[in-house]
Amino acid sequence: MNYEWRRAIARRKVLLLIIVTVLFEVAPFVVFTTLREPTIQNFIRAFSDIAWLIGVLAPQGLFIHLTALLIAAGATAEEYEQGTVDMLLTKPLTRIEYMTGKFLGGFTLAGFVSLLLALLGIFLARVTFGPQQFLEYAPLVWLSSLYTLLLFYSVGFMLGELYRRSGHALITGVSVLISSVVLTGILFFAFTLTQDKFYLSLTKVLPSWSTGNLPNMVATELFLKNRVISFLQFGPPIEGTIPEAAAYVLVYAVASIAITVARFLRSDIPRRTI
Amino acid sequence: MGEPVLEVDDLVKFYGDFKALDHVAFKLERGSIFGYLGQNGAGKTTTIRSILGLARPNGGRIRLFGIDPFKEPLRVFDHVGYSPELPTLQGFMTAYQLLDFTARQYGLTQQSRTTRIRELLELVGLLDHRDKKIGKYSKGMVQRLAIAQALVNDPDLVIMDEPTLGLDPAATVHFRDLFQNLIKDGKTLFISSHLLDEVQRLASHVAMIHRGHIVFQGSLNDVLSAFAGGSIIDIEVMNVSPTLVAALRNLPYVREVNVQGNRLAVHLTSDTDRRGELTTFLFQQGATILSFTHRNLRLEEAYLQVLRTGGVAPAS
Repeated sequence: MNYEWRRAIARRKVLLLIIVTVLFEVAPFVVFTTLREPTIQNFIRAFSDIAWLIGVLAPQGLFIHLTALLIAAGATAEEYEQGTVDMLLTKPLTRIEYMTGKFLGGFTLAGFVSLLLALLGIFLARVTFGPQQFLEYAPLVWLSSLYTLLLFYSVGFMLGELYRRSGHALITGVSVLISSVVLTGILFFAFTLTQDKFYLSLTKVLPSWSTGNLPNMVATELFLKNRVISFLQFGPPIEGTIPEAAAYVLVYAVASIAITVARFLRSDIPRRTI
Repeated sequence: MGEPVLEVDDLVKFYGDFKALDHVAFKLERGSIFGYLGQNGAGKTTTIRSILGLARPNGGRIRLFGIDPFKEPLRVFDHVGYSPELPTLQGFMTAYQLLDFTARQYGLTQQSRTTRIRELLELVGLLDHRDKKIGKYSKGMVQRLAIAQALVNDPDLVIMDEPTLGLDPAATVHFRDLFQNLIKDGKTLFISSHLLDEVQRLASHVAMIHRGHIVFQGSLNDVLSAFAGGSIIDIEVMNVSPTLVAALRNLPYVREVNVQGNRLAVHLTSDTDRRGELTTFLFQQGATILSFTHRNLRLEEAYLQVLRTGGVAPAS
């Protein structure tokens, strides 16, 4: 695990994305404190006691998933690209142990980044808006956010192993993420035109629905009671349940991991690819 | 002699339709230096990668210390060290960190790790660079470190793919001594190389692979006497004509004549000194001799001869 953290952190693009994510985390609080229009001030007043939630959920929209994709896409692929996988797999280590170490190492790093962002969000909310309510639920909301990270992390991990090229894996992973968001919009638009719920059910299958909505659903269930859900919601409002969203995350993650393991166990380890 | 350290039997490997290994078979006895020779693309690295479980053979059998490495990798790799061709190591680590990480994989204790790493860094001449990031190492330094990491677990068998590639002459001599000392310690070395002079200096046994086939295997003395048996006379003449070459080839004591420009490498069938007879013969043929050198046999000639004959030793 230590190895995987050091390897990932040594990659400048990972560091860069973490910095961008932190900036994205700070940005809403800067905006809220600088805008003085009465409508915005009223809006802020409505949720200033639970502003920490913005800090916890804001990166959830895009950046934390990009970070997860970036870490995962390079986890195995870069070892092939650099030829370092040979050294690792000719030691007393089974392939399953190697894969498990890679997966958990990268995922804990992505989770750690997510935790730091959540803590930063809580800190900024406290500094900007004063004492915060319902902070006792923050760990659960963060855990649900961490759980959703599994989806794009696993997809990125799978793509890294399938392509064995980190760049290809990242581009495909990001395309999946963006296409999913775009498709959600298109399907929602189709629904508003036709009122056919089939379109809504399709959006739920897309990876962005479960990852974007599960933490909101958990927060709503715990304490929100629709106070700011519309503001924090990622994408158009599409009804769903927590078990439904959790199941979709699990299905994507399990399928991706299964494909990764099958590919890794059944194929040759290539010589250095770049 | 006991059980072979490595036994490869009937190994077949395809890459798509391309047959990279065609029923490859050889054995490595304990305490030997085994030179594995072949041209680029002959199948040397594929063989090594199959032995190490990095490539999955389509057929055949591999036994390391009598164990199937695919079924029991943990038992096998405790006793094997590997240094790949043109190694790339973890550039974000220092030499010390990499060796420490490797030693941890073998389950060495903190105390034995510290001692072992120091020993190895000293052995490969990198002690002064122990805290430098590997990414800033030269190619030769990386090669040295790769050899050090192959020795972390004090392995019984060390497999090295082109171990002296990228090393300067002084380091090459240093590592040659190191390899010989490993043999004195009872280790077995498998060295894949295209540097035939280097292999000739080190190896006790060789196998030659060509287009996925093993074309020869045996002791170094066997290959030299069977395929480069006799000696070679290098002759430089003013005008090389096909008639001259044909006449030379017809001589009963000449096995082969290789022509390169106006230089002739005349392979003799035995060690008998034929310089006098040859000089007379060349004068009779009207050739003007510019230079004339008798030399001992080299693995290179034997290797080329093996490739030419497909491993069938020419009649003396």
